Amino acid sequence: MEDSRQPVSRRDFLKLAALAPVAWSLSPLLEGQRDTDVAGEGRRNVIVLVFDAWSAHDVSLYGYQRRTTPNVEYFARDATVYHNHYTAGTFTVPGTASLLTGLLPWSHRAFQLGAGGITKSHMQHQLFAALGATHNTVAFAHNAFADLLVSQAQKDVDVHVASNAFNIDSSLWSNLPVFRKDMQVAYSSFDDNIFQTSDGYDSSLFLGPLDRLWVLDKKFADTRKLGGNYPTGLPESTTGMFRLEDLASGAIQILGALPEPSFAYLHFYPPHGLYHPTAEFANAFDDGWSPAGKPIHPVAYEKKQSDFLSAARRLYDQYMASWDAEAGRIFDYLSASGLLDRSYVILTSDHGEMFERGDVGHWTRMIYDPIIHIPLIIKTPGQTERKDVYAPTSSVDILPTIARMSGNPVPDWAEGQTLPGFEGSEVGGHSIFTVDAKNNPSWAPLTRTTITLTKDQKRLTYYNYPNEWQAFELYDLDEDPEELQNLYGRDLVAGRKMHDELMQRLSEVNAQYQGGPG
Amino acid sequence: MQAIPTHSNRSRLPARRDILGVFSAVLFVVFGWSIRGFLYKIPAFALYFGLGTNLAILCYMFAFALIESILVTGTLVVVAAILPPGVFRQGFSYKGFIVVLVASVAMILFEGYYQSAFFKDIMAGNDSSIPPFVLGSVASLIALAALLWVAHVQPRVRRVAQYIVDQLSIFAYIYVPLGLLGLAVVILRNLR
Repeated sequence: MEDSRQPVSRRDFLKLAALAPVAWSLSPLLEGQRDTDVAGEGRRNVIVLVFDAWSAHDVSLYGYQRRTTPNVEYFARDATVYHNHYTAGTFTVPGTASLLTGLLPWSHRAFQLGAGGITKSHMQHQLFAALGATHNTVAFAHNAFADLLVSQAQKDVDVHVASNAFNIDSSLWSNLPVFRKDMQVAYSSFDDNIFQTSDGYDSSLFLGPLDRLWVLDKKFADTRKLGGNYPTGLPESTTGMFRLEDLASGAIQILGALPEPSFAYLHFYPPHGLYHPTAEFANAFDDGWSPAGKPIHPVAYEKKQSDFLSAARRLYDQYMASWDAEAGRIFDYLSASGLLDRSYVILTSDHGEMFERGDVGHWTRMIYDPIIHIPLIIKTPGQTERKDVYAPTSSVDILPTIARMSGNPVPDWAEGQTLPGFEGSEVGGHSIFTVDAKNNPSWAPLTRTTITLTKDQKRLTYYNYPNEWQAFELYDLDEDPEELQNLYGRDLVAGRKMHDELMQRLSEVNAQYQGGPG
Repeated sequence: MQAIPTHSNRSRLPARRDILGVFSAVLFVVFGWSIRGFLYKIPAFALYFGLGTNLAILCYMFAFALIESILVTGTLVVVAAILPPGVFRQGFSYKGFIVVLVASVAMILFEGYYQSAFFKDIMAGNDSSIPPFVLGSVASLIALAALLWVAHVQPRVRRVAQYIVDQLSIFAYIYVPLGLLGLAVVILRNLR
């Protein structure tokens, strides 16, 4: 008789061994599943999938001319698609913090690139705490900065899968289990100082340089060994090098082990740069298309020219398509496993990505549509038809909506409102704020900042950089979606009304911080 | 004239006093560089951390600096124990000081060159045929050999080196307790 068993190769064994920590970390939850199942009878899972730096502008589901996301399109065929969804923050820290807390950056105060995190007074105001009584809570954040925010909610997270769990390697000391209880400080001490993960000198005089050489050597070795499918090199997150396929497999592993009902927050680094598409998509969009150039903005950091920006955007699109192919496996698993029938699945991002006016990526002080307009797709159990929502919505609306989905009360501290389709209003008029304050102390009034108010298809942006650039810009998003015609000073009625609302809110927020560091 | 023994006859290790002298020099450069790094980052940390958290970060840095200093000194002692006595064990104090001096300068230059942007370039294939750290290592070894030779033939240089080592010993009384305090804080923060 033929033996149908396949021999386990060394590669398979290593893969299984790599996933063992995940299985181990989920096992306590599985042991306790019986009790939680009784408590959660009738409740649905809530699964939030976040693709980092995912701009709606480059997503074919939203009409982008390059076919970057066929699998997302397929997933959305019987889901609710939000066409005007905006993030409250322009990069991972404020964007993710707003998503998790339902608060605007000027309230949660996590708006610098670092380990500062959510202010103490709001640390209990987050999704894990809001759902902890009714759901098992599981978190995986592949981006170290998002992971630091999860670590702030540690006591409300039943299973916190390490951010490097599916990486080829890890370059972060703060990821070591020994620092799990003090991750923020460990990150700032080790990975933002003793060993520098960005430019600058290590504070470790002798071991720092040795660590750099060791990391470099490891990167070369990993790229040689495992980078065959990545012509421009292996993708790399803030926590180390990884392969898209391993990340998708890891997500499937987490989802496969979810006790029910669960609230699962899975934050994936791609399509965040550096953009390293797979061989299949490496030339997918070499189509000669270049978006129209836009003038360089006075607050642009990089002042890159159009050719450079177009090339970077093409690479971003190719990388997004590569990740979409792997994300398709996650969607397939959700469907095949039956999880889709028992879960609300929310697909969104923490912020967008921009390739215009001189800056590339999202490290910018500018706020224009590509950096704040992000996808939002929600699949409800039993939903069989696609629904399109055009009313403007904000990332701070996610928390109240999830609270409602999960049968919990909407917390009174939440600053958003329930999304249309979940008892929220489908009519416009909602004031959507986005705040960038990366140059402003978190404990001080906002005096160096960019703030945007989007309302009734108009957008007012306030650039407040004393001695550098102070200006208002007003755009009509219906007539001028590329935001090229500044109407401030011309559309007096809308301009004045939005100006007063924005300044009033800013004044109210700043009044709480007049005293300096608390 | 009878030579003053600078190492223990009963052991392959250098004399305890010499080891402590080199340890003090290592503590001085390692803690000094670490404090420089902390002061450089303070404006950024102050944007979002309060005084308590910043002090906790300082404790991590002191704890790590102490461990690093012990490792570096330990490595020098092991090298001295392995090599023939005349090479490193005799005159361990001034020779160790010169090694620490050259290595410190080399490491600072290395870090200035090997920034993240440089890493990205060489990962993208824009690397030169001879890695700069190899050239830097060779240059450092030449500088080290030259300084050791000068110290060997010039007693005055040896005396100056020894004088500096003696003066630096005061830092051991400051940095070791700070490192131990830091270590205790790190352990407590991760146990609670």
